[in-house]
Formats: sequence, C-alpha cells, structure tokens
Amino acid sequence: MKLRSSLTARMVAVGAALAVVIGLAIGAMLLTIGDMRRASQTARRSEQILAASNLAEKQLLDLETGARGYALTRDDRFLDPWRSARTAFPRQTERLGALVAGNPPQAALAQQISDGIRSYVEDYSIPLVIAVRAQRNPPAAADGRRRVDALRAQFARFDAAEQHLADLRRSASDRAAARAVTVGVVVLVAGVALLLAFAAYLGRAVARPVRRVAAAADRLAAGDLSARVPADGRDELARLAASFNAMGAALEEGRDELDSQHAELELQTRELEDQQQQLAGANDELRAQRDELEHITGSLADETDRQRRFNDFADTLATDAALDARAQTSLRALADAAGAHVGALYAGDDEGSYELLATVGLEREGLPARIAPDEGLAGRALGEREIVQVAHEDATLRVRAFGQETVVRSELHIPLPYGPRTIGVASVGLLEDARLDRRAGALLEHLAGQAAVALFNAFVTRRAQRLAEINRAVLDTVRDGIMLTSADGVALANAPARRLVEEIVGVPLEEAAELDPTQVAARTTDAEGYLAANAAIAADPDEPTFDEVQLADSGRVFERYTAPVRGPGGERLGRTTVIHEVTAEREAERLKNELMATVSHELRTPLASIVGFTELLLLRDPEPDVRRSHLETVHAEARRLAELIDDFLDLQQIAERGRLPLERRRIDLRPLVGDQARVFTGHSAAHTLAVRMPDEPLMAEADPSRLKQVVANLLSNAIKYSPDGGEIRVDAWARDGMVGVAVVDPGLGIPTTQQDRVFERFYRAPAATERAIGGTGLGLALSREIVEAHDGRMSFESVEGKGSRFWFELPAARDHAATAEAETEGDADRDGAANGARTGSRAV
Amino acid sequence: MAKVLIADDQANMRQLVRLTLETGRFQIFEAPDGVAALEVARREQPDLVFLDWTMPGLPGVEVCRALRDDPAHDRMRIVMLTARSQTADREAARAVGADDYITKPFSPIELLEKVRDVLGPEALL
Repeated sequence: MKLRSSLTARMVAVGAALAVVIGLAIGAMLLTIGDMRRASQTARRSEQILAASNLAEKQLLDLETGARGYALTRDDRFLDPWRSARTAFPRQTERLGALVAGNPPQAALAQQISDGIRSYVEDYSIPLVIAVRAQRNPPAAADGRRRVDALRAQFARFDAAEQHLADLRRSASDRAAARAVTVGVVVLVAGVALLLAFAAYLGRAVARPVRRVAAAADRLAAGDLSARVPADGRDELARLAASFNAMGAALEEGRDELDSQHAELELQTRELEDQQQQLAGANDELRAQRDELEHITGSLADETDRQRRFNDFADTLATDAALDARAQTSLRALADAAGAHVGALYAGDDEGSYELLATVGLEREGLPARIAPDEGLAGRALGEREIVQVAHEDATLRVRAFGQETVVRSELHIPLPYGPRTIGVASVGLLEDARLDRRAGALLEHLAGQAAVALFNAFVTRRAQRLAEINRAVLDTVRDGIMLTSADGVALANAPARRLVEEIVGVPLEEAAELDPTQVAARTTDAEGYLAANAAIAADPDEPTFDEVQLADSGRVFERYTAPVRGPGGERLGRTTVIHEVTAEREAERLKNELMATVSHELRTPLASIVGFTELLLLRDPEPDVRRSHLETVHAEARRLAELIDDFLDLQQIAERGRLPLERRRIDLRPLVGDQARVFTGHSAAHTLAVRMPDEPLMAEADPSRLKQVVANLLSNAIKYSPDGGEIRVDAWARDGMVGVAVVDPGLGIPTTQQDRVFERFYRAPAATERAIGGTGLGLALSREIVEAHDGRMSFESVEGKGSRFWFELPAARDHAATAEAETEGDADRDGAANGARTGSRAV
Repeated sequence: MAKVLIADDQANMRQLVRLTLETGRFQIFEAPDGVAALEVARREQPDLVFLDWTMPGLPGVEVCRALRDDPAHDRMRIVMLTARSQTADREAARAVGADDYITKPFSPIELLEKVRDVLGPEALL
C-alpha cells in the first residue's frame, strides 16, 4: 500500500505543513520584536548621555559661581560646591567620554569639553582662588566668563547633536514595534484559517464512514445478517467495512450450519426415548426382586424383634426383684405379645391358692383377690398347663372402655409353668377377635416360662425376707442385746444391742469399732478385767467367753456372753455377743446378802444367850436361884428371837399378800403405850423416859399386838439412835378425829439426804452401820405397814445431830352414842353389827 | 492372876462370859460400850480382851484398832466375840489386829478353849 493513500500518512503531511507555516510566521514575528528591542535600547542610551552632559555642565557652573562668589565675598562657604565640582569633574567628563565612545564626532566634542574645563580650572579658577586667598589681584573676571560661555556653547552643541541622535533612534524603535504588530496579526489569522481547514477535512474523511459501519453493526445485532457496508476507497475505513462485511457473511454461514445440526439432534433424541422405554421394563423386573428381598429382611427383623423382646423382658425382670414388680412386668409383656388390652395375673407360692398380683387396664376391686386351681377358665389353664383361648360368648373379663363396660371379644389364659408346678396364670383380653397362630403361641409360652422362673424366685425372696423380718422382730423383742460381729464389723444387731452398746461404750454401735479398748475399759470399774476378757476372746476365737462389766459412773452391771458362730459348712461367720443387763439382779442380790448378814447377826445375838446359858446350866448344875435366873434369861432371849422371826415373817407376808391381816378391837392406846415405856425403861440406864398422856381415853379400832410392835419399835429406835443417852419423850393425843402417839429423842437425827429412804425396807441409816447399831432395817418399814393397815399414817421430823420425832395417827373410834346411832340407822350392816357386839361385850 | 475385860452392850453376854470364866483364876472387868472398853483396857492393861463388834459409841473393831495403835498393848490378847459371821468380817478383824474370833452363839467350853489357846494352858490351871 502506497504512503499517499494511507489516512495516517495524509494526517501527518497536513499536520507538518501546518507546523511549518506557523513556525515561519512566529520566526518573522520574533525578528521584528528583536529590532524593536534594539531600537528602544539605543534610545535609552541617548537619554543617559544627555543626563551625563547636563551633570558635567552643572559642575562647570558650580566651579564658576563658587570661584566668583569667593572672589567677591571671600566667604569660604562658596568654596564647598567649588571643591566638590573640582573633585567630581574629571570622573564625570571621563564617563561622558566613555558613553559616546562609539560615536567619533561626539567623542571628539566630549574631549574638547573635557580639555576646556580642565584648562579653565587650572588656568583660571584655581589661580583665582589662590589669588583671592592670598589677597592678590585676581585674574580678570571677564576672562573667566568668557571661558565658561565658550564651554557652555560647546555643551549646547554636544547636547543638540545628542538630542538629534536620540530622536532618530526613537523613531526607528517605533517603526520596529509597528512592524512586529502587523506580522503577529498576519500569523494569527493564517494559523486559525489553516486549523479550520484541517478540521473540515477530518470530518469528511473519517466520521462518515465510521457512522455507516456503526449503523450496519446495529442491524447485524438486531438479527439482519445480510447487512453490508459500501467498501469504497482503500484506507483503514474501507478495510473496516470490508472486515465487517466478511463477518456478516461468516455469521450467516454459521447459522445455516446450526440449523442443520439441530435437525440431526432431534433425530437422535427420538432414538434415545425408544431405548429408555426398554430400560423401564428392566427396572420393573428389578423392583420385583427387591420386594422379594425386603420381605425376607422383614421376616428376619421379626425374628430379631422376638429375640429383643425376650432379652428386654429378661432384663426388666432382673432389674426389680420385688414380687409385685415382676408380676406387673410379666403381665405387661404377655399382654403386649398377645396384642391384648387388658389382663390380670394370679400366682401362688403353693399350689392350693393363687393371689392377684398384677392387672393391666382393669380395676383390682372388680376381680377376685384369689382363685383356686380348678376355678373358671384361668383355673382350667392352671390345671391343664395349656393356653386356654376363648371367644366372645365364653369371655368373662369386663373392661371399661369408651365410658361403658364392655366384654372383651376374646380371652387368653396363659399358665406360668415352673418345673412340674404351675406357679400362676396370666389372663389377658383382646377387644377384637384373635386367633392364636403357632408362632404367637410359642412366643407366649416362652415368655410365660421366663415369667414363671422370675416369679418363683421372687416368691422365694419374699419368703426369705419375711423370715428375716420375723427373725429380726423376735430378736428385737428380746431384752438382751444380741449381735453378730465379723471381721467386716457388725453384721447384725438387735435394737437392745444398739441401745446397750451405746450406753456402755458411749458412742453409737457403728462407731464402737473405732474406739480404743482402753477408753471403754476406763468407763468400767474393772478396767484390767475388761481388757483381759477382750484379750481372751481374741486369743481363742473358737471358745465361748463370759464376763461381767460394771460401769463406774452409773454402777450398772452387764453380763457379756460371746461365742463363735459357724455357718452350715462349718465356716466361721463371726462371733455372737449377748449383753444382758443384771443391774437390778445384782442390786437385789446385794440387798439380800446384806439382809442375810443382818438377819444372821440379829438371830445369833439372842441365840448366843440361849445356847450359852443352857450349856452353863448343863455343865454346872447351879443353885436353884441361879438356875432360875439363867432360865429367865434364856426365856426372854428366846422370846426376843421369836419376835424377830415374827417380824421377818410379817414382812414376808406383806410382800406376798400386799396387806397385813389385823385383829382389830376397840382399845384405849394409853395403857398400851405406858406398858411399852415401862419395858424400855429397864433396858437402858443412860436414858430416861418421860411419858405424857391425856386423861381421857384414846380409843381406836386397832390390833393391840400390832400397835405394841409399832410403839416398841419407835422406843427401841429412839434409844438405839441416842447413843449418848438423854430423855426420851412419849406424847399421845386425840385431835380432829384422830388419835396419835409421838416418840421424841435427842439423838443423832437423820441427814436430809437420807430422809426419804427411812421407811424403805432393809434400809439402815449410815450411822447405824458406822456405829454398829443393831437392827434389821425392817422395824420402821413394818411399823408403817401396820399403821397404814389401820388406815392411819406415820411420819417423822428430824434434824441431823439434834434428834428425831417419829409419830403416827389412827382414826379415833366413834363413841358409844355415835355407834348406837349408826346401828339404828344402818340396820343390816354386818360390820356394824359385829362392832356393836364387840363394843357391847367390852362394855359389859 | 490374869486380867480379862469383857466388852459387850448386852448385859446377858457379859454375864455369860463372866460366869464361864469365874474359876478364881481371872480378874474380870466389864464394859457396856466401846468407849468404856477402851478406857478400862488402857487403865487395867488386861491380858485378854473380849470385844463385841456392834456396840453403841465405838464398834469393837475400832476399839481393837485403837488398842493396837499403841505399842504398849502389844502383849494384850484381843478376841472378837460377835454375831457377825461373814468371812469378810473375820478378815476385817484380823486386819485391825485381833488375835482370834468367836462367832455367837458359842458354847462355854469353846470359850475356855479359846482362852487356853490364846493365853496358854497354864492360864486355866
């Protein structure tokens, strides 16, 4: 392709031409401006020369006027401008010469002026000043003036020449400026015109063809694949149009190709559809085979379910060993397996009777609590050991459903066989008809077998538990503590054992094993004995042991018996310990021993006299009066012995019968008391008896021998417990329907702490034992029994170290008149009649 | 002549012992209670003392103990004569220094034998 025809080449050519034209124009303009600048510089130089010339002329005038003024006035002040002008003048003329160096006529003139001035100064002005100063005659003034005027004329010529030169230079500068403006305007107009022409050309050569191609592309985009662009010319745009047309043609061709391929594809699709139909047929076949497989899998799942059911059932049974829970589990499993909605389970530990243990969907109240082996359908199942199945007409189970009572549609009675026995029966009911197939039957029988084993075990457990409870209840009712200990600790302990162990060792039984044995031993009265007994148990665990422990603080006594316990196989299970409290027994024993000692002593004392005196009589055969004396002694002591024995027997009688039999008579107490006082007066020399009694009789319904006992006891005590002797006072009185007697002694008295024990049987005051005061400890006890048997009362007041006052009161007997009155009123009163008879006889 | 003291609160007993020993070989003293017994024993220094246990004032064993506390009475023979018959009583009496022990009731012959045992056969001759 030739450069001429290329659009780019054309653009470059036009642009270059334009640039050259504009460049030339600007060059011309720059030249013009240069001229103008030179012209103005020359003009400014002329002005400088004029200024220098004027300055030099002024200095000349200063020289002339200064010198002249000095000459006239001789005033030194006129010499100042003169001096400065004379100094500056050579330099100024030199500068003027330099400025006009390029202009020879002017330079020559400037030299003349310079020489003229120098000559004026040297030849005239300086001599003038010297002459004036020396007061000689100055040179002639006219000569000076002339010289100055000549110089000034030279200055005028110089200035005029210079002015003329300056005017010439300024007009040249003005012309150069006008030329530059003209050139600039021409260049600007030409440039603008060229640019406009270039733009018009661009519009014609590029924009139109591009627009055409764009319109054709729009049509192509709209689907008109036949759109074409006129491709005239040979530049880039023509090539663009050609390419565009080629593309349109190619697109048209591609579309036709696609249309034919589409037709081909439709054909292939139809073929594929045919093949798919064939595959569908094959799928049906496969599906049938899969259903077959699923069926087989389902059967396997059923079997697995059966196994799971058995396992679950066994697990549930095992979790709770209680009979009721197992019965409930069994019944629920059987009902589920049979598809039943309701049911009841009966079972029994022996074959005679079966109790209702569980129900499902039924009220317990509506069912019999027990059934016998041959009762009804359930009974039949029990007897035959076969599942009994009945339909609607024979069904007996009733169920409340949908708010009303309905009879179940069918029933199953499933026996629960265990070995040769039938342990129970589960009766279940279905709300719909059900026929039991072989497989379901086998499942039920299997479950029933499992249930029977579980229930049997639960029965055995229950029996064992009941037995254990009975054993425990029996053990707890025993008063002794019984426990079994093994190496692991306390294996068994009845309630008393827990209580007694805690009371003995001071901590609960569970903590007792932790105790240090010496700590426990320290609580006992015999620590060494306790530890020795423990050691003996440890040393020979096969031997039974027996020991006794007494607690130091409370004095309680316990017997401990321990023995090894062996199991049925002879293995040692541990050691049983029996704790038996014997505190009361020991106390009774102690009292008995004391009593025995006392009784023995009290019996031996009179016996000693009896035996001794009788032996003396036998040995010595003394004189009759001595013999008589001895016999009297023996007799008195024998009597005393008899009384003593009577006391014991009386008290024994009271202890056995609760009350003393009396032979009551109406008596006056005064002679009875007086007699006893006289008896005791003889007994002790250290004591005196003062008896004070009222004048009127003290009548009471009483047994005189018993009252005599009482009075004698009080007097005897008063003497015994007043070891230092003194006056024993006896008072008697009748007051407020009572008759009373008091015995007052000045003796030892009774300590306050002991006062409430005074009437206790066998009680002896501490003083009695300390001071070896004889007695049985029965006297006061018996006396009070006697007084109370008379409906009276007995008491005492006592101060330790001061003495005691013992007294008793009996109801006074009613007098004759009152008795008579009572007889008239109470006619058939047997007691009253007897009283009356006795009173009567006594009155006679 | 040996001196014998009989201490007993019962006159019958004192009389019985005195009658038994009335052979002309004994000088006999009597005391009705413990305090009197101690007083007489200290005063008379008897060769033999019969002590009842249960006496007013001071029991026989205490009289015995008091006498034995004084070395001056070392040669004195002391015999308890009591109705207390327990073994423990005999041991208590021995513990306070009694030489012998006679339990009531006793026979006069037995009493004489004790006297012979305690004082020697020559005492009765």
